[in-house]
Amino acid sequence: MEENFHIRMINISKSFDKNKVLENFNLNIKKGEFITILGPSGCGKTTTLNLLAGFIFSEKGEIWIGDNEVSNIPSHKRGASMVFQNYALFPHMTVYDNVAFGLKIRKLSKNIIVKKVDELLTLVGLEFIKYKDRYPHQLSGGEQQRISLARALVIDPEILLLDEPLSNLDAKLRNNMRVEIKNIQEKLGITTIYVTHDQEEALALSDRIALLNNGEIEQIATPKQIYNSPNSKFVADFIGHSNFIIGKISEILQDKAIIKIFDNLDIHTDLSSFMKKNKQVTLIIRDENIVISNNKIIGENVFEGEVDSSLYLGPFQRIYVRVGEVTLTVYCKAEQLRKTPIKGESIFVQLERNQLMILPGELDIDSSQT
Amino acid sequence: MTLRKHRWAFLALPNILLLMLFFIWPLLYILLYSIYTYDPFQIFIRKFTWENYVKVLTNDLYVNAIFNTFQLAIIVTFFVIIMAYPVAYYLARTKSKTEDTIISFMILAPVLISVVTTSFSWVILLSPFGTLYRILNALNLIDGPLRIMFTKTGIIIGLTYGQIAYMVMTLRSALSNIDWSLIKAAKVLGASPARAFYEITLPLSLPGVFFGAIVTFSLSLSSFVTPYLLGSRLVKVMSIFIYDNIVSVYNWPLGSATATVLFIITTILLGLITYIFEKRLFGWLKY
Repeated sequence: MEENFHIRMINISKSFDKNKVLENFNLNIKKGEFITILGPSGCGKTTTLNLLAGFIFSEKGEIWIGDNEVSNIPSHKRGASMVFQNYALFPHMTVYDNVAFGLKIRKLSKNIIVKKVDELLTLVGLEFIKYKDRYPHQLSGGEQQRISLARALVIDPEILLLDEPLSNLDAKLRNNMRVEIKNIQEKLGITTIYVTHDQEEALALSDRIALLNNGEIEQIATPKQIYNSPNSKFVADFIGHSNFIIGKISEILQDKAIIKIFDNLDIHTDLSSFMKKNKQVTLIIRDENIVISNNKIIGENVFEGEVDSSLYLGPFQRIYVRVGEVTLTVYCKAEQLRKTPIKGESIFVQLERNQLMILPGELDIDSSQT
Repeated sequence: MTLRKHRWAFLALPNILLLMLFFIWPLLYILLYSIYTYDPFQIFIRKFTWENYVKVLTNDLYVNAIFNTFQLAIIVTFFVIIMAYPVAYYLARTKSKTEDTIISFMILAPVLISVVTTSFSWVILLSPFGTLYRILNALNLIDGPLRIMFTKTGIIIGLTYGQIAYMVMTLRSALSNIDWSLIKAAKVLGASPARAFYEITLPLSLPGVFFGAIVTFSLSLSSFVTPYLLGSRLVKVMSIFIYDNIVSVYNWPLGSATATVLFIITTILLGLITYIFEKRLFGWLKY
């Protein structure tokens, strides 16, 4: 078996009523890996998960789990377990019966079932005696999601699928559950596929993130790689907040290129192999990587601008700075500036060379996402 | 404060008044008549007696009618559930609006037509030398006259047909309300489609089955036209006895006593069933 991948999706194509969702889609996942499928709605991430679960079947391609081809195996014979966005707890069953469901189907003895249910409830942080006889509607969202997780894990599944499991929880609970899911996954070492549209969740949980757009993987990499070196404008735009500046290469020197923005700003950048004089490029810089100061900064790529507006965000602030015809968004600590920025006030920004990403061509993405 | 809390009650008031006037009031009269003494010349005289009840509960003819009435209602309810469930399931699952409209219309059509008309069309089909007889006869499947009309079978067919619509509509809404991800969840946990249906869909649809069954059961107990036309008095049921006593024989006390017995048995039975179902089966519902 090549490279010991635990799950392999090979050349998968899937469409719904002539609407192609996935075409020649490939995804390989290592054993024990926590992989997140991230993307905007309609990108095909739920379809991917449903294909893996066996709820739907592809027109073309193969899916392998371990040494078995499962492309046409229905969900109840796949050994893939799933946690649903709305928890999908059986409302007519007690917590005990919910968690025991998969074990009863496997016809295990009563003693083993009780022991395993107890074990799993403990794993997800719920007391067996206290919870076993309760019905789902008597529990909070967080408790329901824990039970849903216990129910999915109790059958020792080959793979664990999670479909936006935290999106119905409030912010604080979401953070706690995030940590717990990560801990449980590491403890069990189970191969996990997590679907979400929440980039923060993806960055926090995953070993690798597969960023999907229009049924194609834009980039698959570790959270750090995907954040620090996005390979496309889409990735840079989707993950984090970035400034996109369109310019034209005006000069290529020994150790740097000079890029002209609107004929009046010169930005000095590192050289890239694709660079040619007069070529259009897009400069990308993360909001938090722009240096900002009330005083003149000494160095390269320093510009004087004026404050357009600013948002106070508690420990941080977001400042919109006009430099010539470009508006830069700067994200910095609240105490970074001597005083609250006032509209029209003069301010200095620096675009450090090592923080700039340069991609060929013009920006053609929906800028409303930045 | 209390007024504010109960202000919605005002909306229910017209209906409550209507029920008081046209249901409770006549019902009290029936109760009253049922303990009056029958008189061939004055219909009844205001003299207290238990005699009417004694007759209803001991006379073979009446006891037989009580038995028939409940037997028919139970069998009809059973067949209605069996026949309505697959249709309701299909309607709840189909994504095609056209299919939904066509099937719903066909199911509802018998209810939109007068029950006299539908029962009479069954008479044409099922009578001893009727349409069905001629078809079966032409196929050499039957010799003598068809023995469906004037039997319980005929009444069961007619009543089942007339009541499937109510069950389909109740069940369909119960089935549509079931979250599809529950079935998915059961499947990933290893349940075959049949097992998932038995463990998840069926129990979750039981409240719908239950409420549909109550409607069917009550309508069957009180049905008059269908047993009258398809049974032609050869199958005795309580509704026909009530009708005959009050309209034909003018024995209002006996008719009232029969009606009261039917009403009391029905109420006790439905109350008991509801109690058991809510306590035992629907403990998980958010009552």
